[in-house]
Amino acid sequence: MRVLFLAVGGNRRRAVADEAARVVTEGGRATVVVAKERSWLDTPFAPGVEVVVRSGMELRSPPRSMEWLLLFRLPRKVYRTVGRGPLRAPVSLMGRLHERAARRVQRGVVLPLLRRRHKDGPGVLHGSSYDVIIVGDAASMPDAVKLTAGASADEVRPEVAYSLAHLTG
Amino acid sequence: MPASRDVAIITPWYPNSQSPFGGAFVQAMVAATAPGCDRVTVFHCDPWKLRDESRLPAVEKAHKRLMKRALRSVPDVAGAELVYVPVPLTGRPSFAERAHSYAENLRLALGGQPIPADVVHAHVGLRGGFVALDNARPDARVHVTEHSTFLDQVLAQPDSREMYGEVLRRCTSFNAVGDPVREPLAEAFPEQAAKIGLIPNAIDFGPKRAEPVRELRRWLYLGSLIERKGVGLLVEAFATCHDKDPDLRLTIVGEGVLGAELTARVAELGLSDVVDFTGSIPPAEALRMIATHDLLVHPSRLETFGMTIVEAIAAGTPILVTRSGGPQETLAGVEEAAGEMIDVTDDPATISEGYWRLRDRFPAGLDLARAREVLAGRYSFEAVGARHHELWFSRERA
Repeated sequence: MRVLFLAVGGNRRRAVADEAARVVTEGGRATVVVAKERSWLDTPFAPGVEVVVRSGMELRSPPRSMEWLLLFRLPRKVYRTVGRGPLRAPVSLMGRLHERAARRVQRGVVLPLLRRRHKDGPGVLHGSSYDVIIVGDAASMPDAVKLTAGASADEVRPEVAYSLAHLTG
Repeated sequence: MPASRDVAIITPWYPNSQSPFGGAFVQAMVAATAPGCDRVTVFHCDPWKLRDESRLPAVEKAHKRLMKRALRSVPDVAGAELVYVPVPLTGRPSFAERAHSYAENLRLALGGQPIPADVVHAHVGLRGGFVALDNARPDARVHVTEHSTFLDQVLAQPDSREMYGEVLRRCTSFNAVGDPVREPLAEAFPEQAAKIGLIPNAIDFGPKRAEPVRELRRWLYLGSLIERKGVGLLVEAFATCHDKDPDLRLTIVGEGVLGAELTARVAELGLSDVVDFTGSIPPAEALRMIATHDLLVHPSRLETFGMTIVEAIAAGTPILVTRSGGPQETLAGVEEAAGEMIDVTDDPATISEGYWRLRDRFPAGLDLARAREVLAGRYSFEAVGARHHELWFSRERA
Protein backbone atom coordinates (compact mmCIF):
# COMPACT_ATOMS: atom_id res chain seq x y z
CA MET A 1 0.00 0.00 0.00
CA ARG A 2 1.34 3.42 -0.97
CA VAL A 3 0.33 6.02 1.60
CA LEU A 4 0.92 9.75 1.45
CA PHE A 5 0.72 11.57 4.80
CA LEU A 6 0.16 15.31 4.59
CA ALA A 7 1.53 16.86 7.76
CA VAL A 8 2.60 20.43 7.01
CA GLY A 9 0.98 21.72 10.21
CA GLY A 10 3.32 19.52 12.23
CA ASN A 11 1.07 19.53 15.30
CA ARG A 12 -0.28 15.98 15.12
CA ARG A 13 3.16 14.47 14.86
CA ARG A 14 2.59 11.43 17.00
CA ALA A 15 -0.33 10.20 14.90
CA VAL A 16 1.52 10.75 11.63
CA ALA A 17 4.82 9.22 12.75
CA ASP A 18 3.14 6.16 14.32
CA GLU A 19 0.88 5.52 11.35
CA ALA A 20 3.72 6.01 8.83
CA ALA A 21 5.78 3.49 10.81
CA ARG A 22 2.87 1.07 10.71
CA VAL A 23 2.65 1.33 6.92
CA VAL A 24 6.35 0.51 6.54
CA THR A 25 6.17 -2.33 9.08
CA GLU A 26 3.34 -3.88 7.09
CA GLY A 27 5.39 -3.75 3.90
CA GLY A 28 3.91 -0.59 2.40
CA ARG A 29 5.44 2.67 1.26
CA ALA A 30 4.94 5.76 3.43
CA THR A 31 5.72 9.28 2.28
CA VAL A 32 5.27 12.17 4.71
CA VAL A 33 5.05 15.78 3.53
CA VAL A 34 6.27 18.22 6.19
CA ALA A 35 6.82 21.98 6.29
CA LYS A 36 10.15 21.87 8.12
CA GLU A 37 12.14 18.79 8.99
CA ARG A 38 13.49 20.40 12.15
CA SER A 39 9.96 20.59 13.62
CA TRP A 40 10.02 16.81 13.75
CA LEU A 41 13.31 16.35 15.59
CA ASP A 42 11.52 15.19 18.76
CA THR A 43 9.35 12.78 16.75
CA PRO A 44 11.74 10.71 14.66
CA PHE A 45 10.38 8.73 11.73
CA ALA A 46 10.84 4.99 11.53
CA PRO A 47 13.47 3.73 9.06
CA GLY A 48 11.95 3.42 5.61
CA VAL A 49 9.57 6.35 5.94
CA GLU A 50 10.24 8.85 3.15
CA VAL A 51 10.07 12.48 4.27
CA VAL A 52 9.69 15.33 1.77
CA VAL A 53 9.61 19.05 2.46
CA ARG A 54 6.53 20.80 1.15
CA SER A 55 8.26 23.98 -0.09
CA GLY A 56 10.18 22.05 -2.71
CA MET A 57 7.15 20.23 -4.06
CA GLU A 58 4.60 20.96 -6.71
CA LEU A 59 1.30 19.29 -5.97
CA ARG A 60 0.01 18.79 -9.47
CA SER A 61 2.02 18.73 -12.65
CA PRO A 62 0.99 20.99 -15.55
CA PRO A 63 0.05 17.97 -17.72
CA ARG A 64 -2.33 16.73 -15.02
CA SER A 65 -3.98 20.14 -14.75
CA MET A 66 -4.27 20.28 -18.55
CA GLU A 67 -5.82 16.82 -18.66
CA TRP A 68 -8.40 17.84 -16.07
CA LEU A 69 -9.18 21.05 -17.99
CA LEU A 70 -9.58 19.36 -21.37
CA LEU A 71 -11.43 16.25 -20.26
CA PHE A 72 -13.80 17.74 -17.70
CA ARG A 73 -13.79 21.45 -17.00
CA LEU A 74 -14.10 22.86 -20.52
CA PRO A 75 -16.69 20.31 -21.70
CA ARG A 76 -18.79 20.91 -18.59
CA LYS A 77 -18.74 24.65 -19.24
CA VAL A 78 -19.82 24.09 -22.86
CA TYR A 79 -22.66 21.76 -21.84
CA ARG A 80 -23.85 24.23 -19.20
CA THR A 81 -23.85 27.09 -21.72
CA VAL A 82 -25.55 25.20 -24.54
CA GLY A 83 -27.94 23.09 -22.48
CA ARG A 84 -30.74 25.58 -21.95
CA GLY A 85 -34.39 25.58 -22.91
CA PRO A 86 -35.41 22.80 -25.31
CA LEU A 87 -31.79 21.63 -25.59
CA ARG A 88 -31.53 20.95 -21.86
CA ALA A 89 -32.52 17.28 -21.89
CA PRO A 90 -30.51 16.12 -24.92
CA VAL A 91 -27.42 18.13 -23.91
CA SER A 92 -27.66 16.79 -20.37
CA LEU A 93 -27.73 13.24 -21.75
CA MET A 94 -24.78 14.06 -23.98
CA GLY A 95 -22.95 15.47 -20.96
CA ARG A 96 -23.45 12.29 -18.97
CA LEU A 97 -22.23 10.16 -21.87
CA HIS A 98 -19.23 12.43 -22.26
CA GLU A 99 -18.35 12.19 -18.53
CA ARG A 100 -18.50 8.41 -18.70
CA ALA A 101 -16.22 8.33 -21.76
CA ALA A 102 -13.87 10.93 -20.28
CA ARG A 103 -13.45 8.88 -17.11
CA ARG A 104 -12.58 5.84 -19.21
CA VAL A 105 -10.01 7.86 -21.13
CA GLN A 106 -8.64 9.29 -17.87
CA ARG A 107 -8.24 5.93 -16.20
CA GLY A 108 -7.27 3.88 -19.20
CA VAL A 109 -5.02 6.22 -21.13
CA VAL A 110 -4.06 9.50 -19.47
CA LEU A 111 -3.21 8.37 -15.94
CA PRO A 112 -1.09 5.36 -17.00
CA LEU A 113 0.77 7.59 -19.46
CA LEU A 114 1.40 10.29 -16.88
CA ARG A 115 2.52 7.78 -14.27
CA ARG A 116 4.92 6.16 -16.72
CA ARG A 117 6.32 9.50 -17.81
CA HIS A 118 6.74 11.14 -14.43
CA LYS A 119 7.14 8.22 -12.06
CA ASP A 120 6.76 10.70 -9.23
CA GLY A 121 9.68 12.59 -10.68
CA PRO A 122 11.52 14.99 -8.41
CA GLY A 123 9.50 17.91 -7.18
CA VAL A 124 6.07 16.71 -8.18
CA LEU A 125 3.53 14.88 -6.04
CA HIS A 126 0.67 13.12 -7.79
CA GLY A 127 -2.27 12.15 -5.65
CA SER A 128 -3.01 9.35 -8.08
CA SER A 129 0.38 7.77 -7.37
CA TYR A 130 -0.88 6.76 -3.94
CA ASP A 131 -3.50 4.34 -2.75
CA VAL A 132 -4.28 6.43 0.30
CA ILE A 133 -3.84 10.06 1.32
CA ILE A 134 -3.96 10.69 5.06
CA VAL A 135 -4.81 14.27 5.97
CA GLY A 136 -2.67 14.65 9.06
CA ASP A 137 -3.59 18.12 10.32
CA ALA A 138 -5.67 21.21 9.60
CA ALA A 139 -2.94 23.08 7.70
CA SER A 140 -2.70 20.18 5.23
CA MET A 141 -6.35 20.26 4.21
CA PRO A 142 -5.90 22.68 1.25
CA ASP A 143 -3.05 20.52 -0.10
CA ALA A 144 -5.23 17.43 0.18
CA VAL A 145 -7.92 19.12 -1.90
CA LYS A 146 -5.38 20.10 -4.56
CA LEU A 147 -4.00 16.58 -4.73
CA THR A 148 -7.40 15.01 -5.15
CA ALA A 149 -9.11 17.68 -7.24
CA GLY A 150 -7.99 16.04 -10.48
CA ALA A 151 -9.68 12.81 -9.54
CA SER A 152 -13.15 12.34 -10.90
CA ALA A 153 -15.88 12.26 -8.29
CA ASP A 154 -16.31 8.50 -8.27
CA GLU A 155 -12.65 7.59 -8.64
CA VAL A 156 -11.81 5.11 -5.93
CA ARG A 157 -8.10 5.88 -5.68
CA PRO A 158 -6.64 7.53 -3.82
CA GLU A 159 -8.71 6.95 -0.73
CA VAL A 160 -8.68 9.97 1.56
CA ALA A 161 -8.91 9.62 5.33
CA TYR A 162 -7.99 11.38 8.56
CA SER A 163 -6.32 8.26 9.96
CA LEU A 164 -5.21 4.83 8.79
CA ALA A 165 -7.53 3.48 11.50
CA HIS A 166 -10.49 4.78 9.50
CA LEU A 167 -9.79 2.66 6.44
CA THR A 168 -12.08 -0.28 6.25
CA GLY A 169 -10.55 -2.11 3.28
CA MET B 1 -40.62 4.41 25.42
CA PRO B 2 -38.60 5.61 22.39
CA ALA B 3 -39.54 3.96 19.09
CA SER B 4 -36.07 2.49 18.65
CA ARG B 5 -32.90 1.99 20.60
CA ASP B 6 -30.77 4.14 18.31
CA VAL B 7 -28.23 6.09 20.33
CA ALA B 8 -25.69 8.70 19.31
CA ILE B 9 -22.75 9.50 21.60
CA ILE B 10 -21.10 12.91 21.24
CA THR B 11 -17.63 13.31 22.71
CA PRO B 12 -14.58 15.56 22.44
CA TRP B 13 -12.38 12.72 23.73
CA TYR B 14 -11.90 9.25 22.28
CA PRO B 15 -8.81 7.07 21.86
CA ASN B 16 -7.04 7.77 18.55
CA SER B 17 -3.55 7.68 17.01
CA GLN B 18 -2.64 11.11 18.35
CA SER B 19 -3.94 10.40 21.85
CA PRO B 20 -4.18 6.62 22.34
CA PHE B 21 -5.30 6.92 25.98
CA GLY B 22 -7.52 9.98 25.56
CA GLY B 23 -11.19 9.36 26.33
CA ALA B 24 -10.70 5.73 27.29
CA PHE B 25 -13.55 6.22 29.79
CA VAL B 26 -15.90 7.22 26.97
CA GLN B 27 -14.92 4.13 24.99
CA ALA B 28 -15.54 2.03 28.10
CA MET B 29 -18.99 3.61 28.45
CA VAL B 30 -19.70 2.74 24.80
CA ALA B 31 -18.56 -0.85 25.36
CA ALA B 32 -20.82 -1.04 28.42
CA THR B 33 -23.92 0.43 26.80
CA ALA B 34 -23.86 -0.70 23.15
CA PRO B 35 -25.05 -4.25 23.92
CA GLY B 36 -28.82 -3.98 24.15
CA CYS B 37 -29.09 -1.06 21.75
CA ASP B 38 -30.19 -1.31 18.11
CA ARG B 39 -27.46 1.00 16.98
CA VAL B 40 -24.81 3.17 18.65
CA THR B 41 -22.88 5.80 16.71
CA VAL B 42 -20.05 7.69 18.37
CA PHE B 43 -19.29 11.16 16.96
CA HIS B 44 -15.80 12.13 18.08
CA CYS B 45 -15.24 15.85 17.42
CA ASP B 46 -11.50 16.37 17.72
CA PRO B 47 -9.82 19.82 17.73
CA TRP B 48 -7.19 20.27 15.03
CA LYS B 49 -5.17 23.35 15.86
CA LEU B 50 -4.17 25.72 13.09
CA ARG B 51 -1.31 28.02 14.05
CA ASP B 52 -1.73 30.55 11.24
CA GLU B 53 -5.11 32.19 11.79
CA SER B 54 -5.03 33.88 8.36
CA ARG B 55 -5.28 30.45 6.72
CA LEU B 56 -8.52 29.50 8.49
CA PRO B 57 -10.91 30.50 5.64
CA ALA B 58 -8.90 28.41 3.12
CA VAL B 59 -8.70 25.50 5.56
CA GLU B 60 -12.43 25.61 6.31
CA LYS B 61 -13.24 25.67 2.59
CA ALA B 62 -10.94 22.71 1.98
CA HIS B 63 -12.35 20.92 5.04
CA LYS B 64 -15.88 21.07 3.61
CA ARG B 65 -14.73 19.55 0.33
CA LEU B 66 -12.56 16.90 1.99
CA MET B 67 -15.32 15.71 4.30
CA LYS B 68 -17.18 14.29 1.29
CA ARG B 69 -14.29 11.87 0.70
CA ALA B 70 -12.61 11.50 4.08
CA LEU B 71 -15.49 11.28 6.53
CA ARG B 72 -16.63 7.75 7.20
CA SER B 73 -18.24 5.56 9.79
CA VAL B 74 -15.98 2.75 11.00
CA PRO B 75 -16.64 -0.20 13.31
CA ASP B 76 -15.78 0.38 16.95
CA VAL B 77 -16.14 -1.50 20.24
CA ALA B 78 -19.16 -3.70 20.99
CA GLY B 79 -20.70 -3.23 17.55
CA ALA B 80 -20.80 0.56 17.79
CA GLU B 81 -19.83 2.78 14.85
CA LEU B 82 -17.34 5.64 15.09
CA VAL B 83 -17.44 8.86 13.05
CA TYR B 84 -14.34 11.00 13.48
CA VAL B 85 -14.90 14.72 12.86
CA PRO B 86 -11.85 17.03 12.84
CA VAL B 87 -12.57 20.55 14.08
CA PRO B 88 -10.10 23.18 12.78
CA LEU B 89 -9.46 25.75 15.52
CA THR B 90 -7.18 28.78 15.81
CA GLY B 91 -6.04 30.92 18.70
CA ARG B 92 -7.35 30.41 22.21
CA PRO B 93 -11.13 30.35 21.95
CA SER B 94 -13.31 30.18 25.06
CA PHE B 95 -15.00 26.87 25.87
CA ALA B 96 -18.27 28.29 24.49
CA GLU B 97 -16.61 29.37 21.24
CA ARG B 98 -15.07 25.93 20.92
CA ALA B 99 -18.48 24.35 21.48
CA HIS B 100 -19.92 26.47 18.66
CA SER B 101 -17.11 25.30 16.33
CA TYR B 102 -17.67 21.67 17.31
CA ALA B 103 -21.40 22.04 16.68
CA GLU B 104 -20.85 23.61 13.26
CA ASN B 105 -18.42 20.91 12.22
CA LEU B 106 -20.72 18.14 13.36
CA ARG B 107 -23.52 19.75 11.36
CA LEU B 108 -21.22 19.75 8.32
CA ALA B 109 -20.45 16.10 8.91
CA LEU B 110 -24.16 15.32 9.11
CA GLY B 111 -24.80 17.15 5.84
CA GLY B 112 -26.95 19.73 7.60
CA GLN B 113 -29.35 17.10 8.88
CA PRO B 114 -30.06 16.52 12.58
CA ILE B 115 -28.57 13.53 14.36
CA PRO B 116 -30.97 10.73 13.42
CA ALA B 117 -30.92 8.95 16.80
CA ASP B 118 -33.78 9.07 19.31
CA VAL B 119 -31.32 9.27 22.18
CA VAL B 120 -28.22 11.45 22.19
CA HIS B 121 -25.73 11.11 25.03
CA ALA B 122 -23.02 13.74 25.33
CA HIS B 123 -19.83 13.72 27.33
CA VAL B 124 -18.93 17.04 29.01
CA GLY B 125 -21.27 19.98 29.16
CA LEU B 126 -20.24 22.31 26.35
CA ARG B 127 -18.13 20.47 23.76
CA GLY B 128 -20.51 17.53 24.10
CA GLY B 129 -23.79 18.74 25.60
CA PHE B 130 -24.17 21.95 23.63
CA VAL B 131 -23.02 20.22 20.45
CA ALA B 132 -25.65 17.52 20.99
CA LEU B 133 -28.47 19.97 21.72
CA ASP B 134 -27.53 22.03 18.67
CA ASN B 135 -27.64 19.00 16.37
CA ALA B 136 -30.28 16.69 17.87
CA ARG B 137 -33.77 16.30 16.44
CA PRO B 138 -36.32 18.44 18.30
CA ASP B 139 -37.95 15.28 19.67
CA ALA B 140 -34.69 13.56 20.63
CA ARG B 141 -33.75 13.11 24.28
CA VAL B 142 -30.35 14.55 25.12
CA HIS B 143 -28.45 13.27 28.15
CA VAL B 144 -25.18 14.70 29.39
CA THR B 145 -22.39 13.30 31.58
CA GLU B 146 -19.83 15.74 32.97
CA HIS B 147 -16.32 14.50 33.83
CA SER B 148 -14.17 17.63 33.70
CA THR B 149 -11.58 18.43 36.31
CA PHE B 150 -11.36 21.99 34.92
CA LEU B 151 -14.94 23.14 35.49
CA ASP B 152 -13.65 26.15 37.42
CA GLN B 153 -12.01 27.40 34.22
CA VAL B 154 -15.17 26.81 32.21
CA LEU B 155 -17.41 28.60 34.69
CA ALA B 156 -14.97 31.52 34.98
CA GLN B 157 -15.68 32.47 31.36
CA PRO B 158 -18.95 34.49 31.15
CA ASP B 159 -19.99 33.14 27.72
CA SER B 160 -19.18 29.55 28.75
CA ARG B 161 -21.05 29.90 32.03
CA GLU B 162 -24.12 31.20 30.22
CA MET B 163 -23.93 28.36 27.70
CA TYR B 164 -23.57 25.87 30.55
CA GLY B 165 -26.77 27.14 32.15
CA GLU B 166 -28.55 26.71 28.82
CA VAL B 167 -27.30 23.12 28.50
CA LEU B 168 -28.51 22.32 32.01
CA ARG B 169 -31.97 23.76 31.28
CA ARG B 170 -32.44 22.12 27.90
CA CYS B 171 -31.04 18.62 28.36
CA THR B 172 -33.25 15.69 29.34
CA SER B 173 -30.94 14.56 32.10
CA PHE B 174 -27.60 15.69 33.45
CA ASN B 175 -25.19 13.56 35.48
CA ALA B 176 -21.76 14.05 36.95
CA VAL B 177 -19.26 11.23 37.52
CA GLY B 178 -18.79 12.23 41.14
CA ASP B 179 -19.43 14.86 43.79
CA PRO B 180 -16.26 16.83 42.97
CA VAL B 181 -17.98 17.57 39.65
CA ARG B 182 -21.56 17.87 40.90
CA GLU B 183 -20.90 20.26 43.78
CA PRO B 184 -19.39 23.20 41.84
CA LEU B 185 -22.16 22.89 39.25
CA ALA B 186 -24.90 22.82 41.89
CA GLU B 187 -23.32 25.87 43.48
CA ALA B 188 -23.06 27.76 40.19
CA PHE B 189 -26.60 26.83 39.06
CA PRO B 190 -28.65 26.37 42.25
CA GLU B 191 -31.94 26.45 40.30
CA GLN B 192 -30.76 23.35 38.39
CA ALA B 193 -29.12 21.56 41.33
CA ALA B 194 -31.88 18.97 41.66
CA LYS B 195 -31.41 17.98 38.03
CA ILE B 196 -27.74 17.10 38.47
CA GLY B 197 -27.47 13.40 39.27
CA LEU B 198 -24.57 10.99 39.52
CA ILE B 199 -23.56 8.27 37.10
CA PRO B 200 -20.22 6.48 37.35
CA ASN B 201 -17.71 5.58 34.68
CA ALA B 202 -17.83 2.00 33.41
CA ILE B 203 -14.93 -0.31 34.17
CA ASP B 204 -14.05 -3.60 32.50
CA PHE B 205 -14.20 -6.27 35.21
CA GLY B 206 -13.01 -8.92 32.76
CA PRO B 207 -10.36 -11.49 33.60
CA LYS B 208 -8.21 -10.89 36.67
CA ARG B 209 -4.41 -11.06 36.63
CA ALA B 210 -3.01 -14.54 36.06
CA GLU B 211 -0.95 -14.60 39.28
CA PRO B 212 -1.91 -12.85 42.53
CA VAL B 213 0.42 -10.12 43.77
CA ARG B 214 2.99 -11.61 46.16
CA GLU B 215 5.08 -8.55 47.04
CA LEU B 216 4.65 -4.82 46.44
CA ARG B 217 7.81 -4.12 44.47
CA ARG B 218 6.77 -3.20 40.92
CA TRP B 219 5.04 0.19 41.13
CA LEU B 220 2.94 1.55 38.29
CA TYR B 221 1.87 5.13 37.61
CA LEU B 222 -0.74 5.60 34.90
CA GLY B 223 -1.80 9.09 33.89
CA SER B 224 -0.79 12.41 32.40
CA LEU B 225 2.59 13.83 33.35
CA ILE B 226 1.18 17.07 34.71
CA GLU B 227 1.36 18.90 38.03
CA ARG B 228 -2.20 18.05 39.09
CA LYS B 229 -1.49 14.34 38.97
CA GLY B 230 1.24 14.57 41.62
CA VAL B 231 3.68 12.54 39.53
CA GLY B 232 6.64 14.72 40.58
CA LEU B 233 5.99 13.89 44.24
CA LEU B 234 5.73 10.24 43.29
CA VAL B 235 9.24 10.26 41.80
CA GLU B 236 10.64 11.83 44.98
CA ALA B 237 8.76 9.34 47.18
CA PHE B 238 9.91 6.42 45.07
CA ALA B 239 13.53 7.57 45.43
CA THR B 240 13.35 7.45 49.24
CA CYS B 241 11.62 4.06 49.20
CA HIS B 242 14.17 2.72 46.73
CA ASP B 243 16.94 3.73 49.14
CA LYS B 244 15.44 1.29 51.64
CA ASP B 245 14.58 -1.44 49.15
CA PRO B 246 16.76 -1.46 46.01
CA ASP B 247 14.52 -4.11 44.42
CA LEU B 248 11.74 -1.57 43.86
CA ARG B 249 10.87 -0.67 40.26
CA LEU B 250 8.63 2.08 38.89
CA THR B 251 6.91 2.28 35.50
CA ILE B 252 5.52 5.66 34.50
CA VAL B 253 2.92 5.49 31.75
CA GLY B 254 1.70 8.68 30.12
CA GLU B 255 2.80 11.91 28.53
CA GLY B 256 2.64 15.56 29.46
CA VAL B 257 4.46 18.81 29.97
CA LEU B 258 6.49 17.40 32.88
CA GLY B 259 7.89 14.54 30.77
CA ALA B 260 11.36 15.99 30.13
CA GLU B 261 11.67 17.41 33.65
CA LEU B 262 10.77 14.07 35.25
CA THR B 263 13.16 12.14 33.03
CA ALA B 264 15.94 14.54 34.01
CA ARG B 265 15.07 14.27 37.71
CA VAL B 266 15.08 10.48 37.56
CA ALA B 267 18.53 10.59 35.94
CA GLU B 268 19.73 13.06 38.57
CA LEU B 269 18.54 10.70 41.30
CA GLY B 270 20.47 7.86 39.63
CA LEU B 271 17.28 5.87 39.08
CA SER B 272 17.23 5.63 35.29
CA ASP B 273 17.79 1.87 35.46
CA VAL B 274 14.80 1.26 37.72
CA VAL B 275 12.31 3.86 36.47
CA ASP B 276 10.82 3.20 33.06
CA PHE B 277 8.96 5.85 31.05
CA THR B 278 6.73 4.25 28.42
CA GLY B 279 4.90 7.28 27.02
CA SER B 280 1.20 6.96 26.20
CA ILE B 281 -0.19 3.55 25.42
CA PRO B 282 -3.55 2.28 24.17
CA PRO B 283 -6.17 1.40 26.83
CA ALA B 284 -5.83 -2.36 26.29
CA GLU B 285 -2.08 -2.16 26.83
CA ALA B 286 -2.65 -0.11 29.99
CA LEU B 287 -4.84 -2.87 31.40
CA ARG B 288 -2.12 -5.40 30.62
CA MET B 289 0.42 -3.22 32.46
CA ILE B 290 -1.86 -3.02 35.50
CA ALA B 291 -2.06 -6.80 35.58
CA THR B 292 1.73 -7.20 35.40
CA HIS B 293 2.65 -4.77 38.19
CA ASP B 294 2.30 -5.16 41.95
CA LEU B 295 0.92 -1.78 42.94
CA LEU B 296 -0.86 1.11 41.27
CA VAL B 297 0.20 4.44 42.78
CA HIS B 298 -2.26 7.26 42.08
CA PRO B 299 -1.02 10.45 43.77
CA SER B 300 -3.39 12.90 42.04
CA ARG B 301 -4.20 16.26 43.67
CA LEU B 302 -7.71 16.37 42.21
CA GLU B 303 -9.63 13.53 40.63
CA THR B 304 -13.29 13.43 39.68
CA PHE B 305 -13.61 9.64 39.63
CA GLY B 306 -10.31 7.72 39.44
CA MET B 307 -10.85 5.18 36.70
CA THR B 308 -7.43 3.59 36.87
CA ILE B 309 -7.81 2.75 40.56
CA VAL B 310 -10.97 0.78 39.84
CA GLU B 311 -9.26 -0.86 36.85
CA ALA B 312 -6.46 -1.90 39.18
CA ILE B 313 -8.85 -3.46 41.69
CA ALA B 314 -10.71 -5.15 38.83
CA ALA B 315 -7.42 -6.73 37.81
CA GLY B 316 -6.58 -7.77 41.40
CA THR B 317 -3.82 -5.17 41.85
CA PRO B 318 -3.60 -3.19 45.14
CA ILE B 319 -3.61 0.60 45.12
CA LEU B 320 -1.97 3.49 46.92
CA VAL B 321 -4.20 6.47 46.24
CA THR B 322 -4.71 10.04 47.46
CA ARG B 323 -7.97 11.34 48.93
CA SER B 324 -8.26 13.65 45.93
CA GLY B 325 -12.04 13.95 45.66
CA GLY B 326 -13.41 11.20 43.47
CA PRO B 327 -11.43 8.24 44.86
CA GLN B 328 -12.99 8.53 48.37
CA GLU B 329 -16.46 8.14 46.83
CA THR B 330 -15.37 5.58 44.29
CA LEU B 331 -13.79 3.34 46.96
CA ALA B 332 -16.30 4.03 49.74
CA GLY B 333 -16.47 1.01 52.05
CA VAL B 334 -13.51 -0.87 50.55
CA GLU B 335 -10.63 1.57 51.12
CA GLU B 336 -8.75 -0.72 53.49
CA ALA B 337 -9.54 -3.86 51.53
CA ALA B 338 -8.21 -2.38 48.27
CA GLY B 339 -5.02 -0.77 49.53
CA GLU B 340 -4.06 2.45 51.26
CA MET B 341 -5.46 5.96 51.03
CA ILE B 342 -3.24 8.95 51.74
CA ASP B 343 -3.86 12.68 52.10
CA VAL B 344 -3.11 15.21 49.39
CA THR B 345 -0.05 17.12 50.60
CA ASP B 346 3.05 18.73 49.08
CA ASP B 347 5.29 16.33 50.96
CA PRO B 348 6.56 13.21 49.13
CA ALA B 349 6.85 11.54 52.55
CA THR B 350 3.05 11.21 52.58
CA ILE B 351 3.38 8.80 49.66
CA SER B 352 6.42 6.93 50.95
CA GLU B 353 4.96 6.54 54.45
CA GLY B 354 1.68 5.34 52.93
CA TYR B 355 3.63 2.77 50.95
CA TRP B 356 5.38 1.37 54.01
CA ARG B 357 2.08 1.21 55.95
CA LEU B 358 0.53 -0.69 53.05
CA ARG B 359 3.51 -2.99 52.81
CA ASP B 360 3.38 -3.72 56.53
CA ARG B 361 -0.18 -5.00 56.32
CA PHE B 362 0.13 -6.75 52.94
CA PRO B 363 -1.26 -9.27 52.15
CA ALA B 364 -3.26 -10.24 55.23
CA GLY B 365 -4.65 -6.75 55.84
CA LEU B 366 -6.18 -6.49 52.38
CA ASP B 367 -9.18 -8.22 50.86
CA LEU B 368 -8.86 -7.62 47.14
CA ALA B 369 -11.52 -10.20 46.25
CA ARG B 370 -14.14 -8.40 48.38
CA ALA B 371 -13.11 -4.99 47.04
CA ARG B 372 -13.44 -6.33 43.51
CA GLU B 373 -16.87 -7.77 44.14
CA VAL B 374 -18.22 -4.58 45.74
CA LEU B 375 -16.85 -2.34 43.00
CA ALA B 376 -18.09 -4.65 40.23
CA GLY B 377 -21.60 -4.13 41.63
CA ARG B 378 -21.15 -0.39 41.14
CA TYR B 379 -18.94 0.09 38.09
CA SER B 380 -18.89 -3.05 35.93
CA PHE B 381 -20.05 -2.81 32.31
CA GLU B 382 -23.23 -4.63 33.29
CA ALA B 383 -24.01 -2.28 36.20
CA VAL B 384 -23.23 0.96 34.37
CA GLY B 385 -24.79 -0.25 31.11
CA ALA B 386 -28.03 -0.97 32.96
CA ARG B 387 -27.97 2.52 34.55
CA HIS B 388 -27.65 4.14 31.13
CA HIS B 389 -30.35 1.97 29.56
CA GLU B 390 -32.68 2.90 32.40
CA LEU B 391 -31.90 6.56 31.77
CA TRP B 392 -32.32 6.29 28.00
CA PHE B 393 -35.18 3.87 27.51
CA SER B 394 -37.35 3.69 30.62
CA ARG B 395 -41.04 4.52 30.14
CA GLU B 396 -41.11 6.86 33.15
CA ARG B 397 -38.43 9.08 31.70
CA ALA B 398 -39.78 9.07 28.15
